[in-house]
Amino acid sequence: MFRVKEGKISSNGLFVMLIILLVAKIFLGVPQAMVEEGDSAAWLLIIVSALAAVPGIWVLLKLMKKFPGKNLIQIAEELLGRPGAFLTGLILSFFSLFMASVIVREFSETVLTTVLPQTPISIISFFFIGAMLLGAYNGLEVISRASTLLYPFILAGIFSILFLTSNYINFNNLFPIMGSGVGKILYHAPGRSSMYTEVIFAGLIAANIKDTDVIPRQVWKAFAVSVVIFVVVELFYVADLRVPAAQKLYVPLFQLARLIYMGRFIQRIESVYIFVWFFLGALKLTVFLYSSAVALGWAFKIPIYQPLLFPISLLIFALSFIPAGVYTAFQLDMSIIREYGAIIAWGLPLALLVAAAVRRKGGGQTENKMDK
Amino acid sequence: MIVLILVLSVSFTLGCWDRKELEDQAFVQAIGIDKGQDNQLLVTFRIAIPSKAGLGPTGAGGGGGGGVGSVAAKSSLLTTVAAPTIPAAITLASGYVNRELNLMHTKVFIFGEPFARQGVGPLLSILSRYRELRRNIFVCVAKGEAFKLLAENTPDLEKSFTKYWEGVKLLESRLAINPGSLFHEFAIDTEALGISGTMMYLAENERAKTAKAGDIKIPPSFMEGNLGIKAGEIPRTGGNPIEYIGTAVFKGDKFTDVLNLTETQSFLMLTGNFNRATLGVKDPLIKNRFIPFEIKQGSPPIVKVDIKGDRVKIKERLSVEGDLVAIQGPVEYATDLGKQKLLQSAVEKHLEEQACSMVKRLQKRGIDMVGYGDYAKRNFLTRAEWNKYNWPEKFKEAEIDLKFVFRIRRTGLQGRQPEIHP
Repeated sequence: MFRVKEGKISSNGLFVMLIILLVAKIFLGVPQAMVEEGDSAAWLLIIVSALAAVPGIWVLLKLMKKFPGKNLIQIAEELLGRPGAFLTGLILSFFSLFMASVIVREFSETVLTTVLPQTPISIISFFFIGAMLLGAYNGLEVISRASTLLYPFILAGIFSILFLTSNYINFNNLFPIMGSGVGKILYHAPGRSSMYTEVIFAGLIAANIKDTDVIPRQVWKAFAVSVVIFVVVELFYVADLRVPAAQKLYVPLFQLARLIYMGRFIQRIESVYIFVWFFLGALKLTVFLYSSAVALGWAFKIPIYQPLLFPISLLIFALSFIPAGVYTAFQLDMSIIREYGAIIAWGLPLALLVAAAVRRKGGGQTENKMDK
Repeated sequence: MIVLILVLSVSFTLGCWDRKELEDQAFVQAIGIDKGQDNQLLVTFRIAIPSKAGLGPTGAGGGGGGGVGSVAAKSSLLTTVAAPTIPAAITLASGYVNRELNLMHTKVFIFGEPFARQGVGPLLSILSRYRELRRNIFVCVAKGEAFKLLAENTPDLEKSFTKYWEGVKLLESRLAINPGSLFHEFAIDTEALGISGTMMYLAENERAKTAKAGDIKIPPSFMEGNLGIKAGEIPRTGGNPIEYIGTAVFKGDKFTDVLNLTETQSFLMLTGNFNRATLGVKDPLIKNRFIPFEIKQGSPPIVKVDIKGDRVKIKERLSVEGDLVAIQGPVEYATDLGKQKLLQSAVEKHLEEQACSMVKRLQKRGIDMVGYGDYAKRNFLTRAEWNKYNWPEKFKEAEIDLKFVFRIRRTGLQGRQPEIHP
């Protein structure tokens, strides 16, 4: 049977990679976009949108349980034949590619706006591309280990900012408690469930995880931890800034880091965080590049994905320059990826699950012999 | 691959584009903004001269006013430029300062009074957007023009203006003589519906330069043991003529009022931002005698805002603790618990009167500087309902009930009063 040559990682590696993928967006426009729609109840919007994502994740995990040890493309091949696998591979590859190009631009714009204003954006993007190329070339195991290494620093990076800006907290800023209103929160929540679309990555690398039995537990765990981080960050962000200001700031966590003022000595320490953010962004992009190349490899039956990395990164590099400015780039992320990404992330597994039900295939007994 | 990346890193990480040598930069420590002619800005920059910083003794070396001898003043350059915008002023100033002006170390933004009364709104954007300026910069209103104040400011004890401004801010928590306002706090309060923004208030004390100690006029509030004065009014001679006592009150983006020292302390207590300060009250049993305390807030204030239709009832309960610093009269407040109770009630009454008169004065003008609106929001479910309620108007008619609980915790290093024999 055909197989793209990838490495094997533990389910714990999957957990850490999912956390990195899900949480990285908190350093971009997510906290601000949530306040824009949820007002002082932005935290509630996050919880409701997480609840809206639960059925999508459940469908994905149900599908993975029906076809243990197989990734989404292999499942599509079994259910819909070669055309189905080809189409699934293409969709996943382009989805990752599109997300990567937008995120390269967002992270580059963030670096440009905050620390390197005179450096051409192409040079900053080039470094992100270089880092992701190197990571993706070395494969899944290296990405997983790098994620495990970076994970504590990311958590420390987030929570230390919240702690060091706690002198600005005013809990009255979290009122009126329902913010923009129940109606608006329920209206925005399904679209905002796209915040968790990165979970689909678990479906793409399902065949490369050693202990398949615990995949659902690790996915749910990563999802729950991310939701908790999002909610805590959002609560602090709004409590520190008041809603009108919180609705307007780009790169909210960087703004919070710049606000740190704990007496004469603890201030101006945002540079410490820049490194964490760069590595976090680079790692997230690495996963996207890897996903895009592997999905394309599966679609075209190319057993080695590495030769695809350079052309895909070139495409990501080129596409990242399409948005005219920083506002367009952030809008593209928040209005398209984080609004309609759910259609692909939850729709694709659902379509496959329906196909499995119609064709009466899968039942948790199938073993992928190539994995043995 | 690794070699290629290393080579590229070496080539590209030299910081070619954002390279800034220290000796090519002119670091601005303070910026003053005034109204210029024909709708232009007068932008004053206090620029550090690092090569002269830290040289020689601090201060003028005795006598009236830090004056020309101040090391901080000597190790910096003061210049004022007329320009339509602040970036334009930076460009113009760079044209004769010989270096590119850099605002990354700017500590304070001072608005001249006429400019602040007209509204600081148009300048808020640059403070929020411009990368070099930080949201935790200090913001002040100067009585009169900012450029005059910056020119007269000659710190006696500090070798650097940066350290000087940090010291001014520190006095918020040490003595509660100013609100220590940061731009961030001002900006978010100005944008919100339920609270008014504040800045530190600065003024030059012209009499300090000329008056003789014997000619010093005593402010009437001192007769009551009350330090009801603001910057520019300290009865004194000598020292830096610039004072930083009081709070500049804003309605929207317009400077409208000033709180004096005691009002500033009340304001900080009511908002829960009071750390510690000294307080003098009249001795309730002996005429013309005063009792100074070191006070601090016992616990955060408890505020409850009840809304029934258009009727608003605000209740605030404050807990303040104090240590006796001195007793001028012979009454044994330190050891007689009954008398101590009497003194506690006198302090409570003093604090209540002081806070009520300040809050009510501003309430009449629809200025909610304590931020009772923040608590009122809890009565509403959604932002739309809150916005519709029109808090600034409703606040004018609100019933405000302030109560202080004061407890004497410590009485100093001595028990009974000294016995003085005739």
